[in-house]
Amino acid sequence: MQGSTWRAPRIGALAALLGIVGTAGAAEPTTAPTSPTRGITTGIIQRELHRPPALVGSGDLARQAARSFISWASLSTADEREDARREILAGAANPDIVRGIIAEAREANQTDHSRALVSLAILGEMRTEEGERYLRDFINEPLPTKGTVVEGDLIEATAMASLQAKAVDGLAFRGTREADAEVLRLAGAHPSIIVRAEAISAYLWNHGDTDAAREALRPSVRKNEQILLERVRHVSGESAEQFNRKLEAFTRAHPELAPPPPEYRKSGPVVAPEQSPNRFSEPPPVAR
Amino acid sequence: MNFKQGIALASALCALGGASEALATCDQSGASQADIDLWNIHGCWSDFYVWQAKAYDLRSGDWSGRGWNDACNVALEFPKHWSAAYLVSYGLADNVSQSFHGTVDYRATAEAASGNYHDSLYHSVTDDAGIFGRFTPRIWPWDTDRVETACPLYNRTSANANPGSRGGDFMHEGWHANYDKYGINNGDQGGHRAGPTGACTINGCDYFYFHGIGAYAYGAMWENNGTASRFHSPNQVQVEYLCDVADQPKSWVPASVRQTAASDANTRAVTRFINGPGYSCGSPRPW
Repeated sequence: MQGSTWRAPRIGALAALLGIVGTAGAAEPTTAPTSPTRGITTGIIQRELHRPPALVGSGDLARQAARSFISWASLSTADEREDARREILAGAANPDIVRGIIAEAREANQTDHSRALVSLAILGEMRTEEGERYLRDFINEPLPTKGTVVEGDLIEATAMASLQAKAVDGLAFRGTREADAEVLRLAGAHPSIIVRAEAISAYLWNHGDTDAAREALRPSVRKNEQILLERVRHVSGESAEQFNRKLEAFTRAHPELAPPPPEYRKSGPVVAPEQSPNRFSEPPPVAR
Repeated sequence: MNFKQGIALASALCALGGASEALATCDQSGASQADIDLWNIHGCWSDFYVWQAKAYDLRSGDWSGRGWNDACNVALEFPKHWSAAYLVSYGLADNVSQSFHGTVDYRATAEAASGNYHDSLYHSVTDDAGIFGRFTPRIWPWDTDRVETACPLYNRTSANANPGSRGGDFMHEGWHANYDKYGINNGDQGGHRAGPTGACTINGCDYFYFHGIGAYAYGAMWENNGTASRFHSPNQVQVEYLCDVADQPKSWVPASVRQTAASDANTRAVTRFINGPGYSCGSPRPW
Protein backbone atom coordinates (compact mmCIF):
# COMPACT_ATOMS: atom_id res chain seq x y z
CA MET A 1 0.00 0.00 0.00
CA GLN A 2 1.01 3.60 -0.36
CA GLY A 3 1.10 5.80 2.70
CA SER A 4 -0.09 9.35 2.83
CA THR A 5 2.13 12.04 1.44
CA TRP A 6 1.14 14.05 4.51
CA ARG A 7 3.77 12.86 6.91
CA ALA A 8 6.29 14.37 9.18
CA PRO A 9 9.84 14.18 7.87
CA ARG A 10 12.02 11.69 9.69
CA ILE A 11 14.13 13.08 12.45
CA GLY A 12 17.32 12.48 10.48
CA ALA A 13 16.07 14.62 7.63
CA LEU A 14 14.94 17.30 10.02
CA ALA A 15 18.27 17.23 11.76
CA ALA A 16 19.99 17.69 8.42
CA LEU A 17 17.68 20.60 7.72
CA LEU A 18 18.64 22.18 11.01
CA GLY A 19 22.32 21.46 10.49
CA ILE A 20 22.58 19.28 13.55
CA VAL A 21 23.77 15.98 12.07
CA GLY A 22 24.04 14.31 8.71
CA THR A 23 21.98 11.32 7.64
CA ALA A 24 24.53 9.33 5.73
CA GLY A 25 26.81 6.52 6.74
CA ALA A 26 24.96 3.84 8.66
CA ALA A 27 27.26 1.22 10.14
CA GLU A 28 27.49 -2.14 8.42
CA PRO A 29 25.46 -5.02 9.83
CA THR A 30 27.34 -7.63 11.82
CA THR A 31 27.02 -11.12 13.18
CA ALA A 32 26.70 -11.67 16.89
CA PRO A 33 29.51 -13.92 18.16
CA THR A 34 26.99 -16.10 19.97
CA SER A 35 23.79 -15.84 18.03
CA PRO A 36 20.81 -17.27 19.94
CA THR A 37 19.31 -19.14 17.04
CA ARG A 38 16.62 -20.93 19.04
CA GLY A 39 17.45 -24.23 17.45
CA ILE A 40 17.61 -22.89 13.90
CA THR A 41 20.67 -23.95 12.00
CA THR A 42 22.85 -21.17 10.64
CA GLY A 43 24.89 -23.29 8.27
CA ILE A 44 24.31 -24.77 4.88
CA ILE A 45 22.87 -28.24 5.11
CA GLN A 46 25.13 -30.63 3.26
CA ARG A 47 22.91 -33.30 1.84
CA GLU A 48 23.05 -35.80 -0.93
CA LEU A 49 20.54 -35.15 -3.68
CA HIS A 50 17.96 -37.77 -4.68
CA ARG A 51 18.09 -39.53 -1.30
CA PRO A 52 14.74 -38.95 0.44
CA PRO A 53 14.27 -40.45 3.88
CA ALA A 54 12.18 -43.61 3.72
CA LEU A 55 8.49 -43.37 4.60
CA VAL A 56 8.42 -46.58 6.63
CA GLY A 57 7.61 -47.73 10.16
CA SER A 58 4.66 -47.97 12.46
CA GLY A 59 3.32 -46.00 15.43
CA ASP A 60 5.72 -43.36 16.71
CA LEU A 61 8.39 -44.38 14.22
CA ALA A 62 5.97 -43.70 11.38
CA ARG A 63 5.25 -40.25 12.79
CA GLN A 64 8.98 -39.55 12.99
CA ALA A 65 9.43 -40.79 9.43
CA ALA A 66 6.61 -38.52 8.28
CA ARG A 67 8.19 -35.56 10.04
CA SER A 68 11.61 -36.23 8.53
CA PHE A 69 10.17 -36.70 5.07
CA ILE A 70 8.22 -33.44 5.19
CA SER A 71 11.40 -31.60 6.21
CA TRP A 72 13.32 -33.23 3.35
CA ALA A 73 10.52 -32.54 0.87
CA SER A 74 10.31 -28.88 1.91
CA LEU A 75 13.98 -28.41 1.11
CA SER A 76 13.92 -30.57 -2.02
CA THR A 77 14.65 -29.14 -5.45
CA ALA A 78 12.62 -29.38 -8.64
CA ASP A 79 15.08 -32.02 -9.86
CA GLU A 80 14.06 -34.22 -6.93
CA ARG A 81 10.34 -34.10 -7.69
CA GLU A 82 10.21 -37.67 -9.03
CA ASP A 83 12.22 -38.97 -6.07
CA ALA A 84 9.64 -37.43 -3.77
CA ARG A 85 6.73 -38.83 -5.76
CA ARG A 86 8.15 -42.35 -5.68
CA GLU A 87 8.61 -42.24 -1.92
CA ILE A 88 5.17 -40.71 -1.38
CA LEU A 89 3.59 -43.48 -3.43
CA ALA A 90 5.44 -46.11 -1.41
CA GLY A 91 4.43 -44.46 1.86
CA ALA A 92 0.79 -44.28 0.81
CA ALA A 93 0.51 -48.04 1.25
CA ASN A 94 1.27 -47.70 4.98
CA PRO A 95 -1.71 -46.42 7.01
CA ASP A 96 0.53 -45.35 9.89
CA ILE A 97 2.56 -43.18 7.52
CA VAL A 98 -0.62 -41.61 6.13
CA ARG A 99 -1.76 -40.88 9.68
CA GLY A 100 1.67 -39.45 10.45
CA ILE A 101 1.43 -37.03 7.51
CA ILE A 102 -2.09 -36.07 8.60
CA ALA A 103 -0.91 -35.43 12.15
CA GLU A 104 1.95 -33.26 10.87
CA ALA A 105 -0.42 -31.33 8.59
CA ARG A 106 -2.84 -30.77 11.46
CA GLU A 107 -0.05 -29.46 13.68
CA ALA A 108 1.48 -27.26 10.98
CA ASN A 109 -1.90 -25.72 10.12
CA GLN A 110 -1.72 -23.92 13.46
CA THR A 111 1.96 -23.03 13.52
CA ASP A 112 3.61 -22.82 10.10
CA HIS A 113 1.76 -22.06 6.89
CA SER A 114 4.61 -23.09 4.60
CA ARG A 115 5.08 -26.46 6.30
CA ALA A 116 1.32 -27.00 6.23
CA LEU A 117 1.27 -26.38 2.46
CA VAL A 118 3.98 -28.98 1.92
CA SER A 119 2.27 -31.50 4.25
CA LEU A 120 -1.06 -31.10 2.45
CA ALA A 121 0.68 -31.46 -0.91
CA ILE A 122 2.24 -34.76 0.18
CA LEU A 123 -1.06 -36.02 1.56
CA GLY A 124 -2.84 -35.10 -1.68
CA GLU A 125 -0.20 -36.82 -3.77
CA MET A 126 -0.74 -40.02 -1.73
CA ARG A 127 -4.28 -40.52 -3.06
CA THR A 128 -5.51 -42.56 -0.08
CA GLU A 129 -8.97 -43.06 1.37
CA GLU A 130 -7.96 -41.78 4.78
CA GLY A 131 -6.22 -38.80 3.22
CA GLU A 132 -9.31 -38.02 1.17
CA ARG A 133 -11.44 -37.98 4.33
CA TYR A 134 -9.05 -35.63 6.09
CA LEU A 135 -8.79 -33.29 3.09
CA ARG A 136 -12.57 -33.17 2.70
CA ASP A 137 -13.09 -32.42 6.40
CA PHE A 138 -10.36 -29.79 6.41
CA ILE A 139 -11.71 -27.99 3.35
CA ASN A 140 -15.13 -27.80 4.99
CA GLU A 141 -13.87 -26.34 8.26
CA PRO A 142 -15.33 -22.85 8.75
CA LEU A 143 -13.05 -19.94 8.02
CA PRO A 144 -12.03 -17.66 10.89
CA THR A 145 -14.27 -14.65 11.37
CA LYS A 146 -12.00 -12.71 13.72
CA GLY A 147 -8.41 -11.63 13.44
CA THR A 148 -6.23 -9.09 11.66
CA VAL A 149 -7.74 -7.04 8.86
CA VAL A 150 -5.33 -5.84 6.16
CA GLU A 151 -6.89 -3.70 3.42
CA GLY A 152 -10.31 -5.13 4.15
CA ASP A 153 -8.95 -8.67 4.07
CA LEU A 154 -9.12 -10.90 7.15
CA ILE A 155 -5.68 -12.43 6.78
CA GLU A 156 -6.36 -15.43 9.05
CA ALA A 157 -9.28 -16.40 6.81
CA THR A 158 -7.20 -15.87 3.67
CA ALA A 159 -4.39 -17.99 5.11
CA MET A 160 -6.75 -20.85 5.91
CA ALA A 161 -8.46 -20.59 2.52
CA SER A 162 -5.09 -20.83 0.78
CA LEU A 163 -4.39 -24.06 2.70
CA GLN A 164 -7.85 -25.35 1.81
CA ALA A 165 -7.04 -24.56 -1.83
CA LYS A 166 -3.98 -26.80 -1.56
CA ALA A 167 -6.22 -29.48 -0.03
CA VAL A 168 -8.61 -29.15 -2.98
CA ASP A 169 -5.70 -29.95 -5.30
CA GLY A 170 -5.33 -33.24 -3.42
CA LEU A 171 -9.02 -34.00 -3.51
CA ALA A 172 -9.16 -33.38 -7.27
CA PHE A 173 -6.05 -35.51 -7.81
CA ARG A 174 -7.62 -38.38 -5.84
CA GLY A 175 -10.01 -38.84 -8.76
CA THR A 176 -12.66 -41.02 -7.15
CA ARG A 177 -16.29 -40.39 -7.99
CA GLU A 178 -16.94 -39.10 -4.48
CA ALA A 179 -13.91 -36.83 -4.51
CA ASP A 180 -14.82 -35.42 -7.93
CA ALA A 181 -18.38 -34.79 -6.79
CA GLU A 182 -17.07 -32.88 -3.79
CA VAL A 183 -14.71 -30.81 -5.94
CA LEU A 184 -17.63 -29.94 -8.25
CA ARG A 185 -19.68 -28.90 -5.23
CA LEU A 186 -16.85 -26.80 -3.77
CA ALA A 187 -16.39 -25.02 -7.11
CA GLY A 188 -19.57 -23.12 -6.38
CA ALA A 189 -20.36 -23.64 -2.72
CA HIS A 190 -17.16 -22.92 -0.81
CA PRO A 191 -17.33 -19.53 0.93
CA SER A 192 -13.90 -18.44 -0.36
CA ILE A 193 -13.16 -17.47 -3.96
CA ILE A 194 -9.61 -18.72 -3.35
CA VAL A 195 -10.90 -22.27 -2.87
CA ARG A 196 -13.61 -22.05 -5.56
CA ALA A 197 -11.07 -20.88 -8.15
CA GLU A 198 -8.62 -23.66 -7.25
CA ALA A 199 -11.38 -26.28 -7.30
CA ILE A 200 -12.24 -25.23 -10.85
CA SER A 201 -8.62 -25.16 -11.99
CA ALA A 202 -7.77 -28.51 -10.36
CA TYR A 203 -10.88 -30.26 -11.70
CA LEU A 204 -10.12 -29.05 -15.22
CA TRP A 205 -6.45 -30.03 -15.00
CA ASN A 206 -7.24 -33.51 -13.72
CA HIS A 207 -9.74 -33.99 -16.57
CA GLY A 208 -7.40 -32.90 -19.32
CA ASP A 209 -8.72 -29.33 -19.62
CA THR A 210 -11.40 -30.64 -21.98
CA ASP A 211 -14.62 -28.96 -23.03
CA ALA A 212 -16.47 -31.87 -21.43
CA ALA A 213 -14.84 -31.10 -18.08
CA ARG A 214 -15.74 -27.44 -18.49
CA GLU A 215 -19.37 -28.34 -19.16
CA ALA A 216 -19.42 -30.68 -16.16
CA LEU A 217 -18.29 -27.79 -13.99
CA ARG A 218 -20.49 -25.09 -15.48
CA PRO A 219 -23.71 -25.79 -13.49
CA SER A 220 -21.74 -25.72 -10.22
CA VAL A 221 -19.88 -22.48 -10.90
CA ARG A 222 -21.50 -19.26 -9.77
CA LYS A 223 -23.02 -17.12 -12.53
CA ASN A 224 -20.64 -14.23 -11.90
CA GLU A 225 -17.61 -16.54 -11.80
CA GLN A 226 -18.04 -18.41 -15.10
CA ILE A 227 -14.90 -16.63 -16.34
CA LEU A 228 -12.91 -18.94 -14.05
CA LEU A 229 -13.70 -21.79 -16.45
CA GLU A 230 -11.50 -20.05 -19.03
CA ARG A 231 -8.81 -18.65 -16.77
CA VAL A 232 -5.30 -18.66 -18.23
CA ARG A 233 -2.95 -21.07 -16.47
CA HIS A 234 0.77 -20.36 -16.62
CA VAL A 235 2.39 -23.79 -16.89
CA SER A 236 6.02 -24.39 -16.15
CA GLY A 237 7.68 -25.75 -19.28
CA GLU A 238 5.28 -24.43 -21.89
CA SER A 239 6.71 -22.13 -24.54
CA ALA A 240 6.04 -18.42 -24.83
CA GLU A 241 4.06 -19.11 -27.99
CA GLN A 242 1.78 -21.60 -26.20
CA PHE A 243 1.12 -19.26 -23.29
CA ASN A 244 0.64 -16.23 -25.51
CA ARG A 245 -1.84 -18.10 -27.71
CA LYS A 246 -3.93 -18.99 -24.65
CA LEU A 247 -3.76 -15.45 -23.34
CA GLU A 248 -4.69 -13.92 -26.69
CA ALA A 249 -7.72 -16.21 -27.01
CA PHE A 250 -8.80 -15.33 -23.48
CA THR A 251 -8.53 -11.56 -23.92
CA ARG A 252 -10.18 -11.70 -27.34
CA ALA A 253 -13.11 -13.66 -25.92
CA HIS A 254 -13.46 -11.22 -23.01
CA PRO A 255 -13.08 -7.63 -24.19
CA GLU A 256 -14.98 -6.58 -21.07
CA LEU A 257 -11.84 -7.40 -19.05
CA ALA A 258 -9.75 -4.77 -20.81
CA PRO A 259 -8.59 -2.30 -18.15
CA PRO A 260 -9.14 1.43 -18.59
CA PRO A 261 -6.17 3.60 -19.49
CA PRO A 262 -3.97 4.61 -16.58
CA GLU A 263 -4.73 7.91 -14.88
CA TYR A 264 -2.11 10.56 -14.40
CA ARG A 265 -2.14 13.22 -11.75
CA LYS A 266 -3.09 16.49 -13.32
CA SER A 267 -0.13 18.14 -11.70
CA GLY A 268 2.25 15.32 -12.59
CA PRO A 269 4.53 13.92 -9.92
CA VAL A 270 3.85 15.55 -6.54
CA VAL A 271 7.20 14.92 -4.90
CA ALA A 272 10.12 17.26 -5.01
CA PRO A 273 12.97 16.41 -7.37
CA GLU A 274 15.71 14.38 -5.74
CA GLN A 275 18.62 16.40 -4.48
CA SER A 276 21.11 13.53 -4.24
CA PRO A 277 19.95 10.43 -6.10
CA ASN A 278 21.22 7.09 -4.85
CA ARG A 279 23.51 5.74 -7.58
CA PHE A 280 24.65 2.55 -5.86
CA SER A 281 25.54 0.16 -8.66
CA GLU A 282 27.88 -2.38 -7.11
CA PRO A 283 26.86 -5.86 -8.29
CA PRO A 284 25.96 -8.46 -5.70
CA PRO A 285 28.74 -10.83 -4.69
CA VAL A 286 29.24 -13.82 -6.94
CA ALA A 287 26.96 -16.59 -5.70
CA ARG A 288 28.80 -19.41 -3.97
CA MET B 1 8.77 26.01 1.85
CA ASN B 2 5.27 25.14 0.74
CA PHE B 3 2.27 24.72 3.04
CA LYS B 4 2.57 20.92 3.25
CA GLN B 5 6.24 21.12 4.10
CA GLY B 6 5.49 23.70 6.75
CA ILE B 7 2.94 21.44 8.41
CA ALA B 8 5.35 18.53 8.26
CA LEU B 9 8.19 20.57 9.75
CA ALA B 10 5.98 21.80 12.57
CA SER B 11 4.85 18.29 13.43
CA ALA B 12 8.42 17.06 13.39
CA LEU B 13 9.55 19.86 15.66
CA CYS B 14 6.81 18.88 18.09
CA ALA B 15 8.12 15.34 18.01
CA LEU B 16 11.75 16.29 18.65
CA GLY B 17 12.92 15.08 22.00
CA GLY B 18 9.96 12.80 22.37
CA ALA B 19 10.95 10.41 19.66
CA SER B 20 12.45 7.09 20.54
CA GLU B 21 12.84 3.87 18.69
CA ALA B 22 9.89 1.61 19.25
CA LEU B 23 10.65 -1.81 20.64
CA ALA B 24 10.18 -4.52 18.05
CA THR B 25 6.90 -6.31 18.39
CA CYS B 26 7.15 -8.64 15.41
CA ASP B 27 7.44 -12.28 16.40
CA GLN B 28 11.14 -13.03 16.85
CA SER B 29 10.67 -16.55 18.18
CA GLY B 30 11.61 -18.34 14.99
CA ALA B 31 11.17 -18.67 11.25
CA SER B 32 8.82 -20.47 8.92
CA GLN B 33 9.78 -23.69 7.19
CA ALA B 34 10.25 -21.81 3.91
CA ASP B 35 12.55 -19.28 5.55
CA ILE B 36 14.57 -22.05 7.20
CA ASP B 37 14.80 -23.99 3.94
CA LEU B 38 16.17 -21.04 1.96
CA TRP B 39 18.52 -20.22 4.82
CA ASN B 40 19.86 -23.76 4.63
CA ILE B 41 20.69 -23.15 0.99
CA HIS B 42 22.78 -20.00 1.49
CA GLY B 43 23.70 -20.10 5.15
CA CYS B 44 25.01 -16.95 6.74
CA TRP B 45 26.87 -15.06 4.04
CA SER B 46 28.39 -11.83 5.29
CA ASP B 47 29.51 -10.61 1.85
CA PHE B 48 25.93 -10.73 0.71
CA TYR B 49 24.22 -9.15 3.68
CA VAL B 50 26.75 -6.30 3.78
CA TRP B 51 26.10 -5.71 0.08
CA GLN B 52 22.33 -6.03 0.56
CA ALA B 53 22.29 -3.44 3.33
CA LYS B 54 23.82 -0.95 0.88
CA ALA B 55 21.80 -2.01 -2.15
CA TYR B 56 18.53 -1.65 -0.22
CA ASP B 57 19.81 1.38 1.73
CA LEU B 58 19.05 -0.10 5.12
CA ARG B 59 19.74 2.19 8.08
CA SER B 60 21.07 0.76 11.29
CA GLY B 61 18.65 2.66 13.51
CA ASP B 62 15.64 1.16 11.75
CA TRP B 63 16.92 -2.39 12.14
CA SER B 64 18.39 -2.11 15.62
CA GLY B 65 17.01 -4.91 17.78
CA ARG B 66 15.92 -6.69 14.62
CA GLY B 67 19.12 -8.45 13.68
CA TRP B 68 21.33 -5.62 12.45
CA ASN B 69 24.03 -6.84 14.83
CA ASP B 70 22.83 -10.44 14.71
CA ALA B 71 22.64 -10.90 10.95
CA CYS B 72 22.89 -14.69 11.05
CA ASN B 73 19.88 -15.24 13.29
CA VAL B 74 17.04 -16.13 10.94
CA ALA B 75 14.50 -15.60 13.71
CA LEU B 76 14.98 -11.83 13.31
CA GLU B 77 13.68 -9.34 10.76
CA PHE B 78 16.90 -8.18 9.10
CA PRO B 79 18.11 -11.72 8.32
CA LYS B 80 14.67 -12.52 6.91
CA HIS B 81 14.84 -9.34 4.82
CA TRP B 82 18.26 -10.06 3.36
CA SER B 83 17.32 -13.69 2.75
CA ALA B 84 14.34 -12.53 0.67
CA ALA B 85 16.72 -10.24 -1.22
CA TYR B 86 18.98 -13.25 -1.85
CA LEU B 87 16.05 -14.94 -3.59
CA VAL B 88 15.47 -11.81 -5.70
CA SER B 89 19.16 -11.55 -6.63
CA TYR B 90 19.95 -15.19 -7.37
CA GLY B 91 16.78 -17.29 -7.33
CA LEU B 92 15.28 -16.82 -10.80
CA ALA B 93 16.12 -18.80 -13.91
CA ASP B 94 15.51 -15.85 -16.28
CA ASN B 95 14.10 -18.13 -18.94
CA VAL B 96 13.24 -15.78 -21.81
CA SER B 97 10.67 -18.15 -23.24
CA GLN B 98 8.82 -18.67 -19.94
CA SER B 99 9.56 -16.01 -17.31
CA PHE B 100 7.40 -12.89 -17.14
CA HIS B 101 10.36 -10.65 -16.36
CA GLY B 102 14.03 -10.93 -15.52
CA THR B 103 16.12 -10.57 -12.40
CA VAL B 104 17.28 -7.19 -13.69
CA ASP B 105 13.67 -5.93 -13.51
CA TYR B 106 12.92 -7.33 -10.08
CA ARG B 107 16.21 -6.14 -8.61
CA ALA B 108 15.74 -2.61 -9.96
CA THR B 109 12.20 -2.52 -8.54
CA ALA B 110 13.26 -3.75 -5.11
CA GLU B 111 16.59 -2.03 -4.63
CA ALA B 112 17.28 1.51 -3.52
CA ALA B 113 19.07 3.07 -6.48
CA SER B 114 17.39 5.81 -8.46
CA GLY B 115 16.71 4.99 -12.09
CA ASN B 116 13.99 4.27 -14.62
CA TYR B 117 12.02 2.16 -12.15
CA HIS B 118 11.73 4.67 -9.34
CA ASP B 119 13.55 7.44 -7.53
CA SER B 120 15.87 6.58 -4.65
CA LEU B 121 14.21 4.66 -1.85
CA TYR B 122 15.27 2.99 1.36
CA HIS B 123 13.91 -0.05 3.15
CA SER B 124 12.69 0.17 6.72
CA VAL B 125 10.56 -2.02 8.95
CA THR B 126 7.45 -1.35 10.98
CA ASP B 127 5.58 -3.07 13.82
CA ASP B 128 2.28 -2.23 12.16
CA ALA B 129 0.25 -5.45 12.13
CA GLY B 130 -2.43 -4.06 9.83
CA ILE B 131 -0.36 -3.92 6.63
CA PHE B 132 2.08 -6.08 4.71
CA GLY B 133 4.08 -3.11 3.53
CA ARG B 134 3.88 0.61 2.90
CA PHE B 135 5.43 3.09 0.50
CA THR B 136 5.86 6.66 1.71
CA PRO B 137 7.08 9.28 -0.75
CA ARG B 138 9.51 11.96 0.31
CA ILE B 139 8.45 15.54 0.81
CA TRP B 140 11.84 17.21 0.91
CA PRO B 141 14.37 17.29 -1.92
CA TRP B 142 17.08 15.91 0.38
CA ASP B 143 14.85 13.17 1.80
CA THR B 144 14.30 9.70 0.35
CA ASP B 145 11.24 7.62 -0.50
CA ARG B 146 10.64 4.88 2.05
CA VAL B 147 9.51 1.27 1.75
CA GLU B 148 8.46 -0.39 4.99
CA THR B 149 7.77 -4.07 5.48
CA ALA B 150 5.58 -5.13 8.37
CA CYS B 151 5.12 -7.93 10.89
CA PRO B 152 2.81 -10.12 8.77
CA LEU B 153 5.84 -10.67 6.50
CA TYR B 154 8.04 -11.67 9.46
CA ASN B 155 5.84 -13.45 12.02
CA ARG B 156 6.57 -17.11 11.44
CA THR B 157 2.96 -18.26 11.74
CA SER B 158 1.76 -15.76 9.13
CA ALA B 159 0.96 -17.08 5.64
CA ASN B 160 3.13 -14.36 4.11
CA ALA B 161 6.18 -14.93 6.31
CA ASN B 162 8.25 -16.59 3.62
CA PRO B 163 11.02 -15.37 1.29
CA GLY B 164 8.87 -15.28 -1.85
CA SER B 165 6.04 -13.26 -0.32
CA ARG B 166 8.50 -10.86 1.31
CA GLY B 167 10.22 -10.29 -2.03
CA GLY B 168 6.80 -9.97 -3.63
CA ASP B 169 6.11 -7.09 -1.29
CA PHE B 170 9.40 -5.46 -2.32
CA MET B 171 7.96 -5.49 -5.85
CA HIS B 172 4.57 -4.18 -4.78
CA GLU B 173 5.94 -1.25 -2.80
CA GLY B 174 8.63 -0.59 -5.40
CA TRP B 175 5.87 -0.23 -7.96
CA HIS B 176 4.14 2.39 -5.83
CA ALA B 177 7.48 4.21 -6.07
CA ASN B 178 7.33 3.80 -9.85
CA TYR B 179 3.85 5.37 -9.90
CA ASP B 180 5.09 8.19 -7.71
CA LYS B 181 8.00 8.90 -10.04
CA TYR B 182 5.79 9.03 -13.12
CA GLY B 183 2.82 10.82 -11.55
CA ILE B 184 0.36 7.93 -11.92
CA ASN B 185 -2.83 7.99 -9.86
CA ASN B 186 -3.96 4.48 -8.92
CA GLY B 187 -6.64 5.45 -6.41
CA ASP B 188 -7.02 6.83 -2.93
CA GLN B 189 -7.04 3.58 -0.91
CA GLY B 190 -3.36 3.36 -0.07
CA GLY B 191 -2.48 3.84 -3.73
CA HIS B 192 -5.18 1.41 -4.88
CA ARG B 193 -8.83 1.65 -5.85
CA ALA B 194 -11.70 1.28 -3.42
CA GLY B 195 -13.28 -2.15 -3.21
CA PRO B 196 -14.70 -4.69 -3.18
CA THR B 197 -15.49 -4.06 -6.83
CA GLY B 198 -15.62 -6.25 -9.91
CA ALA B 199 -13.67 -9.41 -9.19
CA CYS B 200 -11.69 -7.73 -6.41
CA THR B 201 -12.80 -8.85 -2.95
CA ILE B 202 -10.82 -6.45 -0.76
CA ASN B 203 -10.51 -2.70 -0.25
CA GLY B 204 -7.40 -1.91 -2.26
CA CYS B 205 -7.89 -3.09 -5.82
CA ASP B 206 -5.84 -2.91 -9.01
CA TYR B 207 -6.38 -3.67 -12.66
CA PHE B 208 -4.50 -6.48 -14.36
CA TYR B 209 -2.79 -5.36 -17.58
CA PHE B 210 -2.44 -8.74 -19.27
CA HIS B 211 0.67 -9.24 -21.37
CA GLY B 212 2.34 -12.20 -23.00
CA ILE B 213 5.72 -13.74 -22.33
CA GLY B 214 8.34 -11.71 -24.14
CA ALA B 215 6.24 -8.55 -24.33
CA TYR B 216 8.87 -6.83 -22.21
CA ALA B 217 12.56 -7.32 -22.84
CA TYR B 218 14.50 -7.89 -19.65
CA GLY B 219 15.21 -4.48 -18.19
CA ALA B 220 12.09 -2.95 -19.75
CA MET B 221 9.41 -3.69 -17.15
CA TRP B 222 9.39 -0.02 -16.15
CA GLU B 223 8.21 1.05 -19.61
CA ASN B 224 4.70 2.27 -20.13
CA ASN B 225 3.19 3.95 -23.15
CA GLY B 226 0.48 5.83 -21.28
CA THR B 227 -2.19 3.34 -22.28
CA ALA B 228 -3.45 0.06 -20.87
CA SER B 229 -1.58 -1.83 -23.58
CA ARG B 230 1.81 -1.42 -21.89
CA PHE B 231 1.46 -0.95 -18.20
CA HIS B 232 1.63 -2.76 -14.84
CA SER B 233 -0.13 -2.38 -11.50
CA PRO B 234 1.55 -3.00 -8.12
CA ASN B 235 -0.35 -6.22 -7.43
CA GLN B 236 0.36 -7.42 -10.97
CA VAL B 237 4.12 -6.95 -10.64
CA GLN B 238 3.87 -8.83 -7.35
CA VAL B 239 1.93 -11.73 -8.90
CA GLU B 240 4.32 -11.96 -11.85
CA TYR B 241 7.32 -12.08 -9.52
CA LEU B 242 5.67 -14.77 -7.39
CA CYS B 243 4.81 -16.77 -10.52
CA ASP B 244 8.41 -16.54 -11.70
CA VAL B 245 9.59 -17.82 -8.30
CA ALA B 246 7.04 -20.64 -8.44
CA ASP B 247 7.48 -21.69 -12.07
CA GLN B 248 10.87 -20.43 -13.25
CA PRO B 249 13.25 -20.63 -10.30
CA LYS B 250 16.86 -21.71 -10.24
CA SER B 251 17.19 -25.45 -9.70
CA TRP B 252 18.19 -25.08 -6.03
CA VAL B 253 15.12 -23.12 -4.87
CA PRO B 254 13.39 -25.28 -2.22
CA ALA B 255 9.93 -26.72 -2.76
CA SER B 256 8.53 -24.85 0.24
CA VAL B 257 9.64 -21.52 -1.27
CA ARG B 258 8.12 -22.41 -4.65
CA GLN B 259 4.86 -23.64 -3.14
CA THR B 260 4.36 -20.62 -0.89
CA ALA B 261 5.06 -18.31 -3.84
CA ALA B 262 2.47 -20.10 -5.98
CA SER B 263 -0.07 -20.00 -3.16
CA ASP B 264 0.43 -16.27 -2.62
CA ALA B 265 0.29 -15.56 -6.37
CA ASN B 266 -2.94 -17.51 -6.87
CA THR B 267 -4.57 -16.00 -3.80
CA ARG B 268 -3.79 -12.48 -5.01
CA ALA B 269 -4.80 -13.25 -8.59
CA VAL B 270 -8.40 -14.01 -7.59
CA THR B 271 -8.84 -11.41 -4.83
CA ARG B 272 -7.07 -8.21 -5.85
CA PHE B 273 -7.98 -7.45 -9.45
CA ILE B 274 -11.08 -5.63 -10.60
CA ASN B 275 -10.83 -7.29 -14.01
CA GLY B 276 -9.57 -10.56 -12.56
CA PRO B 277 -8.76 -13.29 -12.36
CA GLY B 278 -5.11 -12.85 -13.17
CA TYR B 279 -3.11 -15.78 -14.46
CA SER B 280 -2.86 -18.84 -12.26
CA CYS B 281 0.54 -20.41 -11.79
CA GLY B 282 2.10 -23.43 -10.18
CA SER B 283 0.63 -26.84 -10.93
CA PRO B 284 -2.73 -28.16 -9.69
CA ARG B 285 -0.97 -31.49 -9.14
CA PRO B 286 -0.29 -31.69 -5.39
CA TRP B 287 3.40 -32.62 -5.77
